[in-house]
Amino acid sequence: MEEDPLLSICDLKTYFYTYEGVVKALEATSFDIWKGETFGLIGETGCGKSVTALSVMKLIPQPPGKILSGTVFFKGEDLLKKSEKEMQKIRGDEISMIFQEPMTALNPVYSIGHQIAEVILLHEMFPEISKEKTINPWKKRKIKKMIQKKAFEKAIEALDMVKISDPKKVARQYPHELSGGMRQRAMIAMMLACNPDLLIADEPTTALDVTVQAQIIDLMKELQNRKGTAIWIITHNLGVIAEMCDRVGVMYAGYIVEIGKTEKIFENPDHPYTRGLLKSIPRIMEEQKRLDIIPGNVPNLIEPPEGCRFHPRCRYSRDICAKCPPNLTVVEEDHCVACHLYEEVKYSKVGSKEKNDAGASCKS
Amino acid sequence: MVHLFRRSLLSMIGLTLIIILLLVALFAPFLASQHPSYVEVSTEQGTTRVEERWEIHFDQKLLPPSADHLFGTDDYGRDIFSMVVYGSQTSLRICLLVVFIATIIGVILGGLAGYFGGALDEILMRITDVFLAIPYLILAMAVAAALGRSIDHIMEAMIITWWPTYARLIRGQVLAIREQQFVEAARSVGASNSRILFRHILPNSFAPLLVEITLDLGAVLLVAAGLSFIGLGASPGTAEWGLMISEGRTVMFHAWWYVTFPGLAILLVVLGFNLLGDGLRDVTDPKLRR
Amino acid sequence: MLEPLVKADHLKEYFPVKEGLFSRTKNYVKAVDDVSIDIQKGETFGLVGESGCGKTTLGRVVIHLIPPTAGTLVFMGSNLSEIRKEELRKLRPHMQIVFQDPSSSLNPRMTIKQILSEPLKINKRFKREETTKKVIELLKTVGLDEQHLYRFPHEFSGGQKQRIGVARAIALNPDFIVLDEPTSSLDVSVQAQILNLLKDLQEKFGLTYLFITHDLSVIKFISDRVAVMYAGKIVEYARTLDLFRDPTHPYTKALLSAIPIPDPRQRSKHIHLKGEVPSLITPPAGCRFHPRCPEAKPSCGKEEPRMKEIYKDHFVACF
Repeated sequence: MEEDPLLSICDLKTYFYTYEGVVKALEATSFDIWKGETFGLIGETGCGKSVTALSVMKLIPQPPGKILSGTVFFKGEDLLKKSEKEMQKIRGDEISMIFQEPMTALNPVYSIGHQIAEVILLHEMFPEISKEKTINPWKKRKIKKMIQKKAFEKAIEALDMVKISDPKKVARQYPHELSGGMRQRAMIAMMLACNPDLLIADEPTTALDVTVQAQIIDLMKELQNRKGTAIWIITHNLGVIAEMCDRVGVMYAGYIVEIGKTEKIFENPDHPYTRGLLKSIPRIMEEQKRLDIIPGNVPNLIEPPEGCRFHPRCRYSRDICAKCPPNLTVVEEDHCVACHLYEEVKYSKVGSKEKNDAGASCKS
Repeated sequence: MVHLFRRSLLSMIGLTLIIILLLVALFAPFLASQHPSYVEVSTEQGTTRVEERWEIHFDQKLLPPSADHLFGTDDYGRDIFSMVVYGSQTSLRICLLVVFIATIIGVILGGLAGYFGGALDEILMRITDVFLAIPYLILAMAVAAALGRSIDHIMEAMIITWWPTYARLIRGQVLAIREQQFVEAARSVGASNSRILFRHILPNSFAPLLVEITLDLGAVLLVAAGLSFIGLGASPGTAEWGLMISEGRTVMFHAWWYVTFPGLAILLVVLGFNLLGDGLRDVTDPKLRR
Repeated sequence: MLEPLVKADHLKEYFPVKEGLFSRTKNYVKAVDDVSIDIQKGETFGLVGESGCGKTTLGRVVIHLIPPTAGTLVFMGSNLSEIRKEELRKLRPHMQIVFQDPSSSLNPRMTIKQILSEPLKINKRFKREETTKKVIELLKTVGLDEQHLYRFPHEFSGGQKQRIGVARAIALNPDFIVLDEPTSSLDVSVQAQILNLLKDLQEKFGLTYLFITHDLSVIKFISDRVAVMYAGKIVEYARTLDLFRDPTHPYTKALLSAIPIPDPRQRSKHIHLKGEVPSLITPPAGCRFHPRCPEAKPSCGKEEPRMKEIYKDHFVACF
């Protein structure tokens, strides 16, 4: 099944120019997301995963940030070349994003229903009502009110879709009156209201309790089945990735270091960082006396290490690791690693989904 | 953090202006060509106070700016440049004293109210509200009427009306910081209340206070100049910038220098304090830094 | 059975809710409602629960940082509610606490040296020259260095700051440390470092821990016994292995089922709880969990269940 991916990011480079220096947040990030799949981006604080999402949505604050180079192809068009106005049409309608803290992402002075309706009104035209052309100002007002009412009804439908009980009542409530879990559901409702092709979820469950987290995960999976939305989930929780994602990318200090099908990454983690990460989490199912740790700290992105950014903490590092950053190499089908250890292991598999990631060739 | 300050051009301009002010005030006797003398005088109300006296040269009245008189002379022949220079001393004294004393009162009352809360907080805050409601102008007029016009009196009036702002500011800061975990941590290792208040809470409350103080120095100057302008502050004959503007009004159209130079001095000093305060605010606000 | 280091009986912590013009107390937030636990010397007692269940409050009450509204608290043989202030002050160095957010638990205007010297100075432990030596020793114990002495908290990473918090807690050679979500705000790899450090310190100094968290996998790793808290009450407690093998209380079962397992082959079925976490001001009548309980019977709303021992050392409060 060789079709074009829904989203194709290639060599994305984003820097932040701050008082203390230039933060090289993303150097050459590349990956694809296919239609209808759930893709996970995992990494720790400061690795650049949120920056990637914001770069794709072109929501990086322009000073101090700047997207220096790269391409982001969405449905065949390069988003980085689009104007702000064109992006505004896409955001909320074709690509939506939900954030970590639902309390701060929702406007406290407007009701939930109002905020969802706002998104709907921005993108939906309601042709049946608005096609009536008149110059009568009273009639115009009446049409406007009808559109607003229709949008509000759609908002209530959206709330029902995310399994909020008594959606009519909730639509009239304000964010502070709802619990964390309900607010996150409201955010999901808002972002799915216009049936986007891609939903980006930036740490959607990190601020929630574990029982609520489980409900939200199940909800997102069900909605995806029903609507066929592709979901790009960003998190640092490996359990969430294992439960939700078809494919996963591991990020470290601005680079994708490993990417592939979830089972393959968890069963055969190849990159030393991925291995360290998987070994350092406490597991319910096992007896552990001590946790394996990755020595050292996440590097400062103002002066990142030369060559492979992980090499100072890597027990396998060799001379070449300090000199030149590794490219993504295919190690098996649906599994690529960016590590010099594996450069010798090169497959040339025709038809493999990761064909574009091997070497440096990309759609340009 | 200092390096951030240096990068902002406006803050450096502000700092420069204030440094110039300080230098002028400090070296006034060396910069000025004429010098005042100080005389004790008894007032209508029966008290004595010290007044400035300048030499009068009627033959040199209202001369335009020249090499001898950089800013010209006034209608009594006094060198305006010297008066502006000595006026800087007066202005600096007013600003610093008012703000300094008001701050001390405000920090003590606000700190206690914020930290202990409860009944003490309520009482202190109601007292603060009462003082906050007093308009400085009316109070200054009342004081002038009762005790005679002098700079000291307007300073007293301003201190009384100024401290509530600081009390409120510090109280708000203390309330916020009181709940922080490091205060709880200090308590858990056995720190006493006074130690927590002075070693932990107050040092962390100073940042916004410092900004407010710097901006207020300019504000106080404006108020003092304004009060002198309407005749409540400095007694006639004193070299005080506001008073000079008031006296220069009558001859404004044919002796523009009389009003302009004191006015310019006020402008530059207040601007300097404002820029300095803005710079400090930008530097101390962690959110604005990135 | 040895005398426990900490014995809490029927602890209650009610916070008054002030309303009205004159701040009259209308109601109470029953953050901790009749909790009894005992902690043995040298063990790690885990306390799990979700937000709003009262575990943070309980952690503070147990070391008398907040005096309990009711109930008795016996620490190292002394009844903390009855002794004089002097005695309490002497006992304080024996019970310390590590806070959740390292960024706000360290005074941003103090250097590390000042932060770590403070407990020593207040409790007049050492002469001045010796204090610096002791501080350096503390830093080395938690894996930091002498060069960090004169730096400020904001110059450190989250993991390093938390190490400083731990150093502060062990500065007075305590017997008992309450750890309030010490790793919740840290990255996964840093969490592992801190957890290992805590285990090492416990062995080295013979410490007793009360470990509070919402992360069940961390609790399983570090605790000997675990208690599950819900709406101000403990609903189940047992030895760690027993609790994870045989969760009995419906809430414990739901909690365990909800943990995302980092293994893509095992996608467990989540037990969904309907409704929301109850308000601690007006908790549900009877068993506090019954409105959301998938196994609730009509009698559950009538009276509160008592703690029963159903297996050896395994207690549940459920009908």
